[in-house]
Amino acid sequence: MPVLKHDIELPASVPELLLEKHANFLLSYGTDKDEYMYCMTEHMRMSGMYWGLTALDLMGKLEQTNRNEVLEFIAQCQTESGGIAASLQHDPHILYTLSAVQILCIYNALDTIDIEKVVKYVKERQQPDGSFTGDIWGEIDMRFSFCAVATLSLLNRLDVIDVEKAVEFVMKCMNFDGGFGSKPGAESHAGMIYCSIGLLSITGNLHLVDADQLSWWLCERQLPSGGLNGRPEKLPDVCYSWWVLSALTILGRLHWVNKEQLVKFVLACQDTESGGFSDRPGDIADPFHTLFGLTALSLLNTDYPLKKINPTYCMPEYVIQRLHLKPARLDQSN
Amino acid sequence: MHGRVKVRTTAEQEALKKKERAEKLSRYRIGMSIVFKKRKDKVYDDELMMVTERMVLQNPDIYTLWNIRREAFINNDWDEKLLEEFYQNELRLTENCLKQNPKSYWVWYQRIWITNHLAECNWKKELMLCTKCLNLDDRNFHCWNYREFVVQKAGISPEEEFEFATSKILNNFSNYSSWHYRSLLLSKMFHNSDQNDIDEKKKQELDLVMNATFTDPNDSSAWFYQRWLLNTHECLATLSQALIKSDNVILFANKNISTESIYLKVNNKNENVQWKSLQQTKISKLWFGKLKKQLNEINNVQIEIEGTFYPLVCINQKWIYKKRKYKFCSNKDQLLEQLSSYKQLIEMEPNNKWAYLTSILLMRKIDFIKFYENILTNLNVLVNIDSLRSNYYKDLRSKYIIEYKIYELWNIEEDQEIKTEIDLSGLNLTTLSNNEHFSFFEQINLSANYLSDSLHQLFILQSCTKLSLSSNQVENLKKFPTLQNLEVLLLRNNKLNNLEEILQLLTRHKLKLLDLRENPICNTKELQTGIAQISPDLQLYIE
Ligand SMILES: [Zn+2]
Repeated sequence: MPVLKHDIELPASVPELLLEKHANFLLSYGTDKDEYMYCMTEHMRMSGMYWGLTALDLMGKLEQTNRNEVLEFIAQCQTESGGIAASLQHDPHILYTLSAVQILCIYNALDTIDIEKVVKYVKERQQPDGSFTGDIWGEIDMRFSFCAVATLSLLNRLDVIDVEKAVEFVMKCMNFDGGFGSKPGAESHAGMIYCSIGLLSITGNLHLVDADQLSWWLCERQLPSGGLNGRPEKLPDVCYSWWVLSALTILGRLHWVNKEQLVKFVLACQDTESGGFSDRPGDIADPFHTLFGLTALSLLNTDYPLKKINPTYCMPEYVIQRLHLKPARLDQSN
Repeated sequence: MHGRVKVRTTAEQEALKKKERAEKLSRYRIGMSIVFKKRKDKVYDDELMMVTERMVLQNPDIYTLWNIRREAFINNDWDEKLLEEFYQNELRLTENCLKQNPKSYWVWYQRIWITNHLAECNWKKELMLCTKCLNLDDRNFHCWNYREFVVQKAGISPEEEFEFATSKILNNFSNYSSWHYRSLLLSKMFHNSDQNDIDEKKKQELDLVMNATFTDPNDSSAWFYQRWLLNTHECLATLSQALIKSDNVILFANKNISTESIYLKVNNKNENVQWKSLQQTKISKLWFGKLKKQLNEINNVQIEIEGTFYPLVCINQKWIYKKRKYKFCSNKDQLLEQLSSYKQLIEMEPNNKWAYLTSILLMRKIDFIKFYENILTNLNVLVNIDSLRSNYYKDLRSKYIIEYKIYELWNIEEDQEIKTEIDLSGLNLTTLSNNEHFSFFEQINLSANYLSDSLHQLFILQSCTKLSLSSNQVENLKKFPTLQNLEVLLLRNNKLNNLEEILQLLTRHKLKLLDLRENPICNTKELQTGIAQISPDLQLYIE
């Protein structure tokens, strides 16, 4: 066998899925408001809350979360502009606006915020070329396109933007390998591919993609360890289990990766003491990788007691159905 | 969140760390409260700049701090010279931040924002910074993106950058980012050249990339680039096949087109056709039309796509067009030479999947029909040596088999005929792939394959009246699409056991015959009565 430069070796024994530990890990996260890591991640609090709450919902533990406290916090994070900030006194941004709207959909509590103002904020982000800025300062990125389209579709207000232009911009980001980068000319990256495919799925434009070519690139992300990387010749990481798998699922080619090996890799990334998942075995666990470890297991249709995740929105399937949303998928005929 | 190893610490170390963290946290809190207070009071003074500078050096991802610094640039009454000094300082600051955290989106954007505001930016210097940064990590896509930004600002030509890309690749073949960048530049350069220039350039690239694949045969980067080169890059849309039967038109092109670029001329006059694509999309390869004229009124028919005319011929009350030849490849000798080189590589490294896969792509391009058996043999090897992706290779094999079978059909077919019947039974097919030819067939035999997970793909069988899916281990019909013309459906020897699904299928179709023999459902008592209620005239075969 050739020597592998960009992979890891799995530990000899792989633990079972430790759901109880993961739930406790997430539930205790933020109970101590003076805990160092908690405080130092204030600038992405809203997304952190979305990661934790979605993961807890998948495990059937949403009732154990402090709904009122979360809703009150989100209401306070909406600013005059309509956009929602990561945390109190921080600035609004489309990344955190989507996270907040996702949480509110999960809690079925959209009336917590001023929806019209959110819609206005997102609409204002669209540029003449169809792209979206993250906030008033003008940075453009595929992530922001996805956030904008996902937010508006969750609010059933896609009509306020030029969807055709938004799709046109996505297609300008397509590369020689069939993948997508963060902006025109940028290298393909599994995270950006998720955003692009997610946007095309929401807007019903998956036919614009060469699904065979792109899915081949995606299944080539699987390494002998079973884990997936986000770009060629990079190390595997649990979060890519989500970005790659969700895109493959939407493209109807999930079977192109080896499920058993991948499940093994994901399980090996659990912290058996504190609970939670890390990017790779032996690293420090965090809510971000905990969510994506669980969503990967949910997509892989294992028999674990996890709710089904929707590959387009990264939210529990029952929430997407409650909202009557039907993002397109190539493994379904209509 | 990434790459932080969990380390065991002694109680003593733990206590020390705790103390350090407490201090850091209190500094953070004091800092943030100063900053927020000053912002509230609109005091954009030196202290604010100092505190925010210190804090972003600690953590460049606190995006609000960068926003506040930008507000300071805008709201201060600094004179031009002072402003310039602050801008230059910001360039230094972002550079320092990037040294510690070269992957922070926010910092890279701050640099873009500043360079956009400078009265005169030294783009050469920015380009040098990129080169320096890429020397440290030539996969940092933030830096590549910034380079792209600088190149556009500085008006550097693709040709100049192509030299840079070449030097980067020659320095290190195992660098996917450089290959990506190269593809980008080439595509830009192709844009202004004719087909001959493109073919010539591609020949040179093929030589370079083969060199790279031999240097490090296990690095995937160059192989991806090679697969791209071996793809055909057709600029123009051309018609592949068309059929008019009674008032129905079916056509498909080699690439996605919109109805605006299709004209159907009957008796030399543009005909008003209602076009529909399968998924109601605005562009598609495959289009279905309804004609308003009677066929006997037609003397001649032409289809125009993007300026090219395709005459249809009339036979047995059908009008047809078919393009039948495999594409001529202009560099057959070069490809044959590459093929034999990779044969040698396979001998040296019998487990190198890339050599096998590339050989397949080369054979497919040189002469698909001639190499068909070799291609299948290689695919079978790949199923074994790259077992993680065995399902990919199986699907690819199905795709090639179907293509070959359609080719065989062309050989039996008369010149002015489109066969409406195809037998694809017993071929180990795992997917139908989205082959547009399927839309033309009326009788399709897919029995004895592995298509149980591909039922949604049957959607493309729009003309199908008789379909066999017998012996496919089909367990459920949930994803079976509605096929308007379907009359005969053979589902013998499958694993169907849900009555509801079958009844549901019947309500969606006007079936004349349904074969359900050798399915568990045949043991269900309510089967016959349930079916009789929905389709009393159905010819039903059960045990
Ligand atoms: Zn990760």
